[in-house]
Amino acid sequence: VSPKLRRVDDGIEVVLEAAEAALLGGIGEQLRPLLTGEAPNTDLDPVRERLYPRAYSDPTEDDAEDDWQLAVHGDLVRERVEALDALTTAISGADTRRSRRIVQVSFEDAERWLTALNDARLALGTRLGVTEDLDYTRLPREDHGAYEVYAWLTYLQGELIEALSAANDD
Amino acid sequence: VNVSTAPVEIGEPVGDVDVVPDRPWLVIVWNDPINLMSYVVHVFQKLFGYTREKATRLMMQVHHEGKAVVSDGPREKAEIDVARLHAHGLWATMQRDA
Repeated sequence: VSPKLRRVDDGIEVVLEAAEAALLGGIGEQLRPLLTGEAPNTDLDPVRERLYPRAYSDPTEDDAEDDWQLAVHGDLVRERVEALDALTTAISGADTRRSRRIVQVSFEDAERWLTALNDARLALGTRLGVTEDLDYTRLPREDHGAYEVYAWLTYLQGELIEALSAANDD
Repeated sequence: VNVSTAPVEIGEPVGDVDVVPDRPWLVIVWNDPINLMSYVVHVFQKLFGYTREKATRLMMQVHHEGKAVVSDGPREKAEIDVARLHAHGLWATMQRDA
């Protein structure tokens, strides 16, 4: 199974096939405008609502909600774009060996990878209407490719969490 | 709801705002079908310094009951906690303790 992750001295080494590296680069290109709000129809988009939900569940707290959004939204966008940048620049700058990308990820950057992979899964999963007991064969045929990407991102994120947990337990 | 038509005296306290000023705010994480269980545990440990056992217990509560209170405190602290949870992609809201 690919990609291969292994613990190294000061982080995690991720070996990506060329196609996987290209896939993550492409996901980054699609995710960025959703994170920054530059994508069209943003105010109607459930993906944006999932990425940036309300803080106050009580609708009578709308003024507090507006103040909170004003105070934190810019930071939330910047933090998530930085996380995505950490992922994409690490991959594009990584050594290539026999067409594979050998990516060295520090523990600090691994946290950013988790954020970026999770944001990508939130965006893709929301668009696909993922549920806990989703039977992907019931998805429309044109979504099967996107679901495969989603499942692969899930696998990669899970492997990364496992590698980080193992490191924390040392 | 008070439906009295009696005139309200200026200066009298109206409603229950700030009657219990110390009633804390609760930060609630809601279940969603996308976030991985292991990721939710990881985020609870990272943001709140909870042990793996406590973080796992809260995650299971979110998973089975649909939501869990993950922290509480004054409004300002709850606002910060919700923002940090959103930064990590968790679906969190805040509300005053009932």
